[in-house]
Formats: sequence, C-alpha cells, structure tokens
Amino acid sequence: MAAPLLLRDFPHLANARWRIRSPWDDSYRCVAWAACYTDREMWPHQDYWWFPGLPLAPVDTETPVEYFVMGFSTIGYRPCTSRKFEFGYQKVAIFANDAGVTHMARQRLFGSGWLSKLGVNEDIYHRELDDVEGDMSPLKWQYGRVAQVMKRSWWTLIVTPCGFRCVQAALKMWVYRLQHDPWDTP
Amino acid sequence: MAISETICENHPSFKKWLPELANTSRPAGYVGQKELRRRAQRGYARYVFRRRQQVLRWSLAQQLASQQVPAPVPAATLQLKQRFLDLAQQWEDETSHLSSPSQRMTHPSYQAVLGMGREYPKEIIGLLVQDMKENRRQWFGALSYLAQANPIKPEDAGRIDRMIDAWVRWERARPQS
Repeated sequence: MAAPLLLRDFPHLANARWRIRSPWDDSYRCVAWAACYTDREMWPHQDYWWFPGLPLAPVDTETPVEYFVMGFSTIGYRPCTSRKFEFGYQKVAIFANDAGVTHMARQRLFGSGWLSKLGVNEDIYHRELDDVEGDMSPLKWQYGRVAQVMKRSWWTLIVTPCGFRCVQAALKMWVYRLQHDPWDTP
Repeated sequence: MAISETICENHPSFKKWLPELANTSRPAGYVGQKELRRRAQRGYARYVFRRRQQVLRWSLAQQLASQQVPAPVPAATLQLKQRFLDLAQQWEDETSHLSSPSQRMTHPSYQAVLGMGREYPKEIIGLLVQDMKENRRQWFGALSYLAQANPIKPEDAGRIDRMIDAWVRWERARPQS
C-alpha cells in the first residue's frame, strides 16, 4: 500500500516512528496476525476461520469485543488494563469504533513496540498503540480506539504451537526484508 | 482453363457444329474446322465456368452457416462491467486496510455492487467471480447473498485460495442459460 494512502487512513502515523515489516499478503489479516497465523483469515464469522467451539457473530451485524476476548482466551490471553510492556508477558490490543471491533495489534516479545497487519496490506511495526488509532465513526473507515488489552505469559507462548508459528513467521519476514532492502518506507 | 477434348465433344454446343465439321464442300458462309472447334470449346468453357461459380457459392454458404460466429457483446454489458470495475477499485482503495467483513460490506461501493446484482444477478455474479479470480478482491458476502448459495466447505473457511477456488468451481458448474 502506498504511504500516502496509509497516512490517509492512519493520520497519526505522520508524526510517529513506524516501518513496514512484511510484504503485501491477502492470505491473512490483523486478527490472524495477532494470533500468529499467516495462512488463514480469522473472524468470528461463518466465512472465516475461528477458534473451534466458540459462537460466531451474525453476518450482517458488527462484532462486539466479547467474541474476541473469548477467542483469545483459548490461546492463553487474559484481559488486563495496562497497555505498557510487562516483563514476562506478551500482549494483544483489540481496537473498536462505534460499530464494533475493527483491528488487533500484537506486542513484540520484548515490548519494543507493536505489530499490526493493516487489512490485506503490509504489516507494520509502530511504537505506540495510539499511532494507528483514529476516528470512532464507522463511516470514516478508521480503527477507532483500543477497547481491550489482553496478556499472556511467555511460558504459555512457549508451550503452545503459537510460539513456533511466531518464530516461523518472523524468520520468513526477516529473510524477505533481507532480500528487499531497504524496507523503511516513510 | 484447360478443358479436355473428350468432355468437349459430348457437350450439346459442341455437337451442334459437328455436321459442319464433316462437310468438306465449303458452302457460302463456311467457317473453318478450327473456328468451329474454338466456338464449341468457348460455349462449353462458359458452361463449366458458370457451374463452378455456382458450386463455389453453394459451398461457401454451407461453410458460413456451419461456423460458430461469436455474438457481439452488447453495449449495455460493457457499461455494466466498467461501472462494476470502477466501484470495485474504489471499494478496494478505501477498505483494504479493514479486517471486519461487516464494515467492508457497509461501504457505499459494495452496496452499489449489491444493488447492481439485484438488478442483473446473472451478469454481476459472473463479474464477481471473475474479479475474485483475477484481482483477488473478496466478494464472498455479496456472492452468498446474490447466489443464495455457499460452496465453501467449513474446513476451508478462512483459506482465501481455497475459498476462491470453491466459487470458481461453483461458477463453472452453474447452468449458463
């Protein structure tokens, strides 16, 4: 996605430190990336993959935050209040606007920022969650604000396949960045 | 055009001059054998030429009738396709950063495509599947709504390549009447 279009949808990025971390890929979006999947699109909706055994949202209505809290609870996350880095924990943030959930971001393992997959576009690294926040009106096509932060311990990450998938995706993108240097867009 | 002597001698216009050919007294108005033969051959040649033209016209007409000539694409269909592509591009530009299927479906361009689909369901379903195959824009919701079908297997949900393949297969199997 071209930088001007990114800045149109994410005006706070204009004054923030961020960089593109992966190639364009429409196989997965932000929720799958927050759960470390890169081979599927996730949403609590009948057309997309969702954690087995959990309820799905109706097709024509917006999805409340509770669906995502329930979903991410199955891979070890628990709701918390602070969005700051805590040693020994990995965090995800759920964004919502007035209509419902819009986006999810995952904290980097050692807390030096957040990773967001921008729809089908590239995934970016940004320092703060505020950098991708935007208008609360659903007609502005922005992410709204952070509605819920969840965290899980590093131990949970290690003992689940999620940790392996994270390392695999990180290696894949690291190799890609080596081949397509330079990667810093703005 | 070479005409064989054997055929020429059986033709009526040739036989007409045969008694004259046998006559050696040379009456008034006598025309030489060479000239008679030439006249006979000319008459026959004219007959052969006409007959060949006739056969050629007939075979050409048969060939044209058997050929599958593609029907010209109506202007209305071209306009519909152009309008659809404009809306699809606008929808992609403005919602490619969104993840929520419901929010992407509420975009005005998506709603306009749905409106077109209600009016021309057959054409728009074809365009949606074609666009999904070529440009990978995800029209799953619109297709399910317009086609009143969902060919995606539950185990393929979320796997975009398999979902697109499922719709392409469904489109191929759809009766084209």
